[in-house]
Amino acid sequence: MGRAAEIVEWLQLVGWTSLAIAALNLWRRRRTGPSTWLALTFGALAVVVIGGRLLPDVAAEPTFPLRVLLAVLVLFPYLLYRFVASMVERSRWEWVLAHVLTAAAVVDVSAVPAFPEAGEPRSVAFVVFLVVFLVQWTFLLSRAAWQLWRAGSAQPAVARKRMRLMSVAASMLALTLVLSATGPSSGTSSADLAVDIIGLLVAPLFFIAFHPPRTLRLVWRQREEADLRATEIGLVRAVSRTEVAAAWLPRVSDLVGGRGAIVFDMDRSVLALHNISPAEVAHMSAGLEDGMPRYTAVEVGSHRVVAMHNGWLVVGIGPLTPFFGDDELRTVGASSVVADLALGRARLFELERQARAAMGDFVAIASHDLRTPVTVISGFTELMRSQWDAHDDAEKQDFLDAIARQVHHLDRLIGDLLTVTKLDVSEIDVFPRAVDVERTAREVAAELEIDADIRTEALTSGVRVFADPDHVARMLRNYLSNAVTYGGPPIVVDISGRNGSVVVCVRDTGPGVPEEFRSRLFEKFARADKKKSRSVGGTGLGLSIVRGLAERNRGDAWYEPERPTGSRFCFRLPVASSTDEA
Amino acid sequence: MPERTARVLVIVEDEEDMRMMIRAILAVDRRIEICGEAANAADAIEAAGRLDPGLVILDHSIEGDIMGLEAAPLIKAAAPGAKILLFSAFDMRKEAEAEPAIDEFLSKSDVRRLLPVVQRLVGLND
Repeated sequence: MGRAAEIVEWLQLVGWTSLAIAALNLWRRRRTGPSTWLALTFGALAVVVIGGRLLPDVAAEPTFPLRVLLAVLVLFPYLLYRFVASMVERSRWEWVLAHVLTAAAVVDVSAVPAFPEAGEPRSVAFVVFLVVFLVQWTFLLSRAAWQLWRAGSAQPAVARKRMRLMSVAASMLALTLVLSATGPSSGTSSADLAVDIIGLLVAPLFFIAFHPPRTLRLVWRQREEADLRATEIGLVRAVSRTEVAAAWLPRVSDLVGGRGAIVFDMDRSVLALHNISPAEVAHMSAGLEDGMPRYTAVEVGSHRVVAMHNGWLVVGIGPLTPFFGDDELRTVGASSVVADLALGRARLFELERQARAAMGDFVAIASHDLRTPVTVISGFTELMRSQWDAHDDAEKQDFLDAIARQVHHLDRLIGDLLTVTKLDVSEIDVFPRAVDVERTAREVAAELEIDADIRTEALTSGVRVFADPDHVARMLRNYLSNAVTYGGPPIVVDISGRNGSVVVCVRDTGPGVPEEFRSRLFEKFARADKKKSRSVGGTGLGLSIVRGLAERNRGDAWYEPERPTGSRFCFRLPVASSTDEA
Repeated sequence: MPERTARVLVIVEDEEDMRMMIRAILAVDRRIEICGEAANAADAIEAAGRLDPGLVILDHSIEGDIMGLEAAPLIKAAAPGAKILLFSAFDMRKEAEAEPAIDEFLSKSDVRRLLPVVQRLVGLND
């Protein structure tokens, strides 16, 4: 029996020391509150076990080193309680009682009387010491065990099993202490051995709870993994980004035991929410940053953010997840790769649907705008053919003038339609060369007989852009004629340099573009003032063509409201280098 | 026996050449009198209420925020006795059939049928 007890003691020593080393390693990797308390907890127990081996057998009068060891032993349940309290809410009364009992136990240790010999009756002082010690240990360990068990019920499988293993281990430890303390003072070696064996099992239980092997995690998480895989397979069939996000969110949130989750689009708009109130959305979006590492759960306050190519996942995690759910957070990162692919695919579907809808609208409007002049031409032609004698010369002249107007409008419309179609399929030819944009602006203004003030700023006269000269002239022609038709004098052309580009803005002091129309200005057939557009034979395609030409020449076109009133239409083109030919 | 006439007819069309063409086509039948024209919904509703026409020829793509299809029930409310012919270059046959205020749809590509359709709607096609 003595040999068996010796072996058990050595095994306990190895077990607790290994546990302490593992906890210390965790603390070195991740210096959080829970890992700190856990390292202190098992470190304390390892000190007690090692110290117990090194110290001689308990003498009648406890030595100072023994009292120190006893004080550390008293601290063990307190440290474990603090580990649990760092993650789980506790009541004030419990907090106060924990500290009072621990303080009493530490004081008690300093006054511990002589330990009775085997078979010797226990003195009153010793019994008091035992009672204080037992009450403190069992209260703190049982509270820690209960809170771990209860908090685990709301957690995903792996975290729940880990917490409950820890709860069982803490309970067993309390039991071994109670059995040791309340057993007969003569103590049979078999009873002591039984208690030692129970105590021996506690260390591996804590170890598995603290650092379960990967195989065990996979077994525990089997159902959740299967659900996640099934969801990921379903994502492949989703045809919109909101559908992808709405299907994926509950699974990843449940996997980490999160409070809730959001998927944000690339522009930080919300694609889907799960258990998140609208009030929290702004707070959660504040942590999104460009350049975050992709497919990795990054800590941002009480959230974890996973950046993807097509958006962000933000999960609101509970206090237990960082310690017990780290593996699950890695799984979420891996799952985000699949979700990202699904989001990208859904985006392409959406773009294709939008393009088809836009093409449908374009065909409808183009058909209407082509059919209208044809109707007028056809109507008047047929009228004159069937009723030639019924109309006098003046009427016939009116009819012919109307036919001529509509033919001219049709010609312009067909030309513009062909241009926008070529721009859409990038088939418009571009012959870039160095173009003096100031001189071109003056020529176009003269051609249109427009009194425009042309100003250059921060540039020497004769500055050149590298673009197709016909395109530059067309853009200016459209902006200047729009300024006359829809704006008001004075009309100013500002030419300035900005970041390696030349920016040309045509501004007027007319009524400006209504705010509700500004977002559609450069769309095909967009007309803010249909009457005026028709009066000048406008096709509704001019600005769409301007933007298309600017982009084909590696630039851009946009609108800005002029203050206090008016419009500013701009385009940007790259500066010509000194070697570019004119 | 006095000749039957269709006294009032309002053309709601914002393209001036189109209005001129419609007037010229309908002028072939001297029994048809065009008593008003409008280029937008508001003017059309006002004219219909004031003139109480027998027929309103209504385009869909007109000036202003209210398009022809939306204006039809308002015109009908202003002139309950008037029939409404939707005359548009858009293919709106389905929308016209779904709108109770519209009595008939004619595509502008079918301009040759304009006069006979108008004559039938105002009861002059015998």
